[in-house]
Amino acid sequence: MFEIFQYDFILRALLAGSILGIVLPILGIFLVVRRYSNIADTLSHVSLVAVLASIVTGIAALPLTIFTTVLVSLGIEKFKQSQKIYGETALAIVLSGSLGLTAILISATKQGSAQLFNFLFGGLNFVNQTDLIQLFTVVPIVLLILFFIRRELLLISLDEELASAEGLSVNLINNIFIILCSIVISLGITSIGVLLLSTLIVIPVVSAQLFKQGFVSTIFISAFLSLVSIWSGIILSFYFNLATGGMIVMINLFFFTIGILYQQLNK
Amino acid sequence: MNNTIISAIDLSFKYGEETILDSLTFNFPSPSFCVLTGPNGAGKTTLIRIITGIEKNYTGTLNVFGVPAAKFINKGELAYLPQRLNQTSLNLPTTVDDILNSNLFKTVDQEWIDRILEKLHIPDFNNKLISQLSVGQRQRVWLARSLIAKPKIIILDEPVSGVDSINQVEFYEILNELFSLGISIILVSHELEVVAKSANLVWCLNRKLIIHKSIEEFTHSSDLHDIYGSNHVHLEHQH
Repeated sequence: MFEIFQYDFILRALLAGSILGIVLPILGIFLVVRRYSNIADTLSHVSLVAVLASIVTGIAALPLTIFTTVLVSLGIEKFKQSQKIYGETALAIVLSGSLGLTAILISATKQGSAQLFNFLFGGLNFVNQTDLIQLFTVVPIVLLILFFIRRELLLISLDEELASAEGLSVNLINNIFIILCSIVISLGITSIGVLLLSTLIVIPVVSAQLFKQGFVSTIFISAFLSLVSIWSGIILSFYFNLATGGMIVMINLFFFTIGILYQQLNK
Repeated sequence: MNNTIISAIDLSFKYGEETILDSLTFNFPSPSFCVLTGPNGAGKTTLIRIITGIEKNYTGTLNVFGVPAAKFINKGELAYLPQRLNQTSLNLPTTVDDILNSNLFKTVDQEWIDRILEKLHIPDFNNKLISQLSVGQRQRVWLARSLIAKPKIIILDEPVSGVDSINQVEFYEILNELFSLGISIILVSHELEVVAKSANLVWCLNRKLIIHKSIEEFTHSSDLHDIYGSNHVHLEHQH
């Protein structure tokens, strides 16, 4: 049973999955409660475009991905704040554009469908030392910033007008938050892919909410569920030789189902 | 002795080409319980948003606590309950404690916080989810939150919309008690009949502002008819 842990690629996958599994739900709770979780999927696809563009152009992937994703996310925020376009509409436009560009760039690269599969569904088994160094350098900084602005983020999530009246620079905090989301998504795209990025931002949070706890408890529950899904997904996919990303998604859906049953039983 | 909390000279606001507020001039003395009334679209919420600093694109002069509004830094002296606040928090996994702790001006005076919770009849609700409370209870939680920093003025924008009539009366009685403790109140409301029992100042707004120094003055004027189009509410005033 424990022979799985003798493989370096498995240990790297567990480490990468763990740190992303903690930070993604923490970002996710602020998106889910504001009914803005679709931005995770949109920014994941933007990151994918940037990664493919780096393959075509030879520009370094991580800086290009972070730059592109941050720029697009701030543009979406600007649209939202100007109220000229609804936030959801802006997301749909950007998502369509990203998918279109993905198709064009795929046709322009010489890369096969295998690499695209990894970008879409996760390449945890291909995480390297550089990926780990980047994750373990940047994600703790992201978590620290989130910790410092946690009360402001909660207040803005409760009511933006109230936050503004109490002196908060709502646009600034929102911009900082979306930049943090963009950075984490850019870091995660090559290791866990588009599907898992969207999944881990949303589903553990929604599952945790079903247990009807306070805000901090919900964060801890969602991070716990996310970690358990990642570890069990990696282990099960190793022994059953199945796609890791898909396994993690299905385990998250299983937890969501348990949460629904728990809610029904406690009515 | 009256102190002026808010003063304005020729305060105007336009949305595009449309004038929403037209040269308002007023002083809001402390302590006062003011009802801000007027038909829908009269600019009441806009005026409140300007006073609370949310809306900044106005012309004219506006001072809050003696400081130009653009330079006023709210340290908890001014509390605000926006419209429909008790509905916006329902999807959040937040307890009453989470809501109370979200006040960035939070004081460490636990005795004061316990007194507020007692007065608002929500003393044992700390671990309850906000979504599990009734509309009236939620509104009292938000009011409790606004009182934590011991504000000098609370501005409430239609705070009892969606609340049943018994809880509405209770809510207004709580506001009256707060006023008796020296906290000034600006209350946006159409419920003239109910709030007439509490307020000692009425602002009638319909692009322009007409100020009445008392409910008696308001009821004996033609403004009710001019602003609403009919004398459709019989007002009683009791102190």
